[in-house]
Order: sequence, then structure tokens, then C-alpha cells
Amino acid sequence: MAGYPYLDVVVYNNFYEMLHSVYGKTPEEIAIRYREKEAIRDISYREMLEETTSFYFYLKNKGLENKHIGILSENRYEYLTIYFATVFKNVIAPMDKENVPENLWKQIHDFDISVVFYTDKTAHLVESFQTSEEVEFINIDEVYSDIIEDKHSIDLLWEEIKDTDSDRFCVLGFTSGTTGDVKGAMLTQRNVTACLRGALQNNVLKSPSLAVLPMNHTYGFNPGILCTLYNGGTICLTVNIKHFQRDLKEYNPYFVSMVPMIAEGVYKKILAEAKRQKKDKLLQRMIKVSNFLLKFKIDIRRMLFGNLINKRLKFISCGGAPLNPYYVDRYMELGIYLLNGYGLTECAPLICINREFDMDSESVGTIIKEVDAKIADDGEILIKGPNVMLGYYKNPEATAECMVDGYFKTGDYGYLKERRLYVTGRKKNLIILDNGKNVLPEMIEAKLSNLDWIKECIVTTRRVNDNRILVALIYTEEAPEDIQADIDRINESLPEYMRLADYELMDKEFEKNSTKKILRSKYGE
Amino acid sequence: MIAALKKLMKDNYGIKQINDDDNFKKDYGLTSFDFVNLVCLIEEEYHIEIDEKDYRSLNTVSELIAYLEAKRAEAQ
Repeated sequence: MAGYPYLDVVVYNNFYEMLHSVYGKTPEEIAIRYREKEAIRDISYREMLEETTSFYFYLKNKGLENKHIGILSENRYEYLTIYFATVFKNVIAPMDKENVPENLWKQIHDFDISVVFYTDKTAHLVESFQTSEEVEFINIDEVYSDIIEDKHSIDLLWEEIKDTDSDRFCVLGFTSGTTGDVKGAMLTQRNVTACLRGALQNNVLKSPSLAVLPMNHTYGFNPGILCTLYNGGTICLTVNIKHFQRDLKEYNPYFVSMVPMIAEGVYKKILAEAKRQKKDKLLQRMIKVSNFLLKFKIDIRRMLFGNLINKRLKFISCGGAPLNPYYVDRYMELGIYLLNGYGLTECAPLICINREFDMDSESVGTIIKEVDAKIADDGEILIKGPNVMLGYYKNPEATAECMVDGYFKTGDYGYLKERRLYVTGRKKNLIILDNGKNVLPEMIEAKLSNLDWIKECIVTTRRVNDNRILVALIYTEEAPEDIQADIDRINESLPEYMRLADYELMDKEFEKNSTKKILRSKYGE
Repeated sequence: MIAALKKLMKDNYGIKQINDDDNFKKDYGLTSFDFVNLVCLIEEEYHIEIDEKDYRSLNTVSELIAYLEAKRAEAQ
């Protein structure tokens, strides 16, 4: 640690400082690269900011300043221009396109969202409440090209935003509450830029990067995309997950942000491909030779394995869910640093990430420079720093509950070795799936409990091959004939990732503690 | 069709036994990422385009096969 200081990174405390500086240095540099049908399209910083300016004035002329604006969209380039156009004078609320209409409407209502930008692909999610008089629904695909036709000088944008308040609430990050209600973390530009800087102070990021995670995901968007823009680099977008493997090869990125499910999936695909070509034994032999040579500081990994993914890929950051250390070692054999990280939406989200010269596959990484972490007496990880949110929107009780002596309570147990953090478990019953999605078992259990025939139930996970699936364990004295029909009805009211893949009937009541709470740890995985 | 699917599942996911009623998630432990990979492999093999909005209705082996057969019939 002591021999490996944090890297020097220019300080921007808000997006005005960041964009103004990057644009001033390299206006014609490619900011975004993506595939439109089959052609690759490059957008320079100048173009991105011209469109941002048009969209900013569109919002201003519509009298939408200070309004909460939802964005419900698949990954696409316009997401970024809308984000930057909105974040200075409005509050942007990135919404999950995998959610169900009922939950989305509740979010719109509970978080005072006045306008929702949606797309042709997400239109089905909002069609049932489009007639609402309180909320305006605008289809990006229908209006975007007209909006950007109305051109304004970027200088006018700078004039408008030069006095940006870095501490103003501007991003609403949706996060799970312990009771099942969604909470809105109020984030500022200082929070987000502190997180970006922290990531860059831990590792050298070269261009280009590839973004594959959903853009509404705080981790996918902030460290995954905005970090590259903070550096003035090029971010390539995977707009369709189907093309991810091709994008990995063709865009030849230096850095990709993933969740464990994708990192593991890519590795397994390499093995399957080698097997298909009957080169699996050869691959294993090459890995052995390479590992042997590495002991003598001879590194031929890029030469040997460069073609498996691409020749440039050096860093994969992995967050959103616990990562199996096995894969850190497997990627390392191929010459790729799978950097395990840790964070929460409330911390914009980055708290720590592993470093190239200071890797530990068991650790979730080195605490970022400007953040102070400590461990409470009960073992809970506590965080203080410029990345910590203002609080939960319209929820002072939850805000008070999550803070202690100026530190944010993460809800996770762990320990520190100098600045390196190790996570050992969760305080809450939250289930974190390998794709980074959080599932509150209580939320599904409440729905199950509404069924008369269910006496007791818990929702847990079961491992099938390497994947974890959601399972309901049910105790009943009188099961109906078609249990699956009831489960299907509940599943329909839940987002895809929260749906129960299976159920099991228990032959006796669950074991409980002295306060009659089910001992969850005795069941499931 | 089932024979070809069997081969794909065996070669790519090491799954040897396939039954009509098997559920990709529950019985084989396929993640959504694995499933998209399977879709890509099928598309390559059969020159069929599987629309993203259809993924959710393809949960079991028989559902996928029926879907692919319908797509093939459409194309002919």
C-alpha cells in the first residue's frame, strides 16, 4: 500500500467543470461510439455537447426547470445528452426498464416525477398511464431529432451552467429499502464526480472503454461510462446485449465495466469456444506454460491469449454483486485484471475497487482516496466522504436511520486491512443476484402471504449449476391443486428478475428464534 | 431441431440431458446472459432472428423449439 500511492487526477467538482475542461482540450475527440444498425457511428465531444445544449434549451423553453425528470430507456447514445441536459437545472431519475408498469407508476408518483422520457422500446411500460394529467410522457424517438435541429451555441450552455451548485440534489438513484419500498437516494454532482475521480485515482484508465450494463444502473453509468468522459476518452456503447461479444472484439476496449454474471459468462464462453474448436487441452497447456514463465517475470499472456477476447483489454471492473475470486485468478492467467469493487447507490456508488499493483482476489478493493471507511462495533462497514448522498428523498426517518456520527451505514459487515476492504456478509436480508439486481425477499414474501393457503414462507436462492435462482419455501397445511397458477400470478406482478423460478413445500414449520422470526440462515443456499 | 439444440446445450453449457419440459433457468441454471448467448448461437446456426421482446416467452425447451419451428415455417 505505502509504496503505491493514489494516482493524481484533476479535480472537477461538477459536470460543468468536467465537460467545459474536456471540451476545451479535445473538442473533436470521439466521446461516444455506437452501432446504428450495422454502421459504427462516432460522436465527438463537440457534437455531444451541441445536442446537450439543444436539449437543455428545449427543457428550459418548456418551463421544466427544477422538475423531476424520469428517463426510461434502453442503452443508447441520447441517454447521455438527456442526462447532461437535465442534471444542471432538474433532477434526473433513471428508471429501470425491467420494472413492471405498476411499480414504475408508484415511483413516478412517490418521487414527484413530472416528465418521463421513454422510447419506442419502452412505450409498452407507460402506455397504460399515458393519459395522466399530472405527468407528461414524451417519446424520445418522436421528438429528439426535432429538438436537436434547434441549434444553440455551446457557449450559451456554459453561460447558463457556469455557476453550477455542486451540492444541489440533481440525481435520484432508486434503491431498495428494507421494508420493500423503493427509496430515492438524493445525489449531487459533487457525489458523482467524487466517485469518478476516486475510480481514476485507483487505476490508470486508457481509452476506449465499453459500456454494456444498463444505463439506469448507478454503477453501470457512473464508473462504467462517466469515468471515461471525466478522462476525455471514448466510450463505446453496447446497445444490444446480443452484440456484446462482437463489440468486445471490434471496439477493442481497454476497460469494461461488468457484473459477475457477465464476467463469468464471458469466461465460460471462452472455454466453450476452445472446446468446440477442440483446443481446450491446448489452452490449458498454454496457461500452464504462461504461469510457469510468469514466475521468471516473463509475460507472454497478451501474445498467447490476446485473441481470445481482444488485444487491448486490460481492466474489467466488477461490481453490483459478490464476485467469485476464482474468476479473478482465471482472468489474471489470461493477462486481464478483473478488478473487484464495492459500492452502493447511496455512495454514487463507488466506495472501493482493487488496484492493478495491489490486487487481492478476496478483497473488494482499496477505499477510494477521499473516502473514510471504518468498521462499527457490530462489524458494519461505515462510510464518510464526498460521495455520500444528501439523504433519501422525502424520507427523513430512513435518512436518520442510515447515518451514525456523520457516517453512512452500508448494511454490510466487513473488515479493513489498512485501506483494503473485505465484505463478509449482509446485515439486511437483501438477496443480491449475480447480475447485480437486488431482491428483497420480504417484498415477495408479503405477496405470497396474501394467499390464504400459505401459512409460512421465505424466499431464498438455490444454486443450479453455477447460477442462483429464486425459490419460495412454503409451509402449508392445505395446498391447492394448482400451486403453480398462484405462483405465476404473483410472478406477473413482479419485475422479471424478481420472479420465482421454483417453489418447494416444507413438511414442517420453519425453525424460529425467540422473537418468532424465521431463522433464514438455516434454509436455502 | 431438438437434436441440434441438445448439441448446442452440451457443447456450450455442458448440459447432457434435455427434456421438453425443462426450464432454462430452473433446470439448467442459465443466467439471462447465458440465454442471450444461446440466442446468438441459434441465430448463427439457423439464420433466424430472435426478437428481444420474445425472450420472456421462451422459458422452456418446448417453447423455444415451437418458436423456432414457427419462425422457420414463416421464412419458407
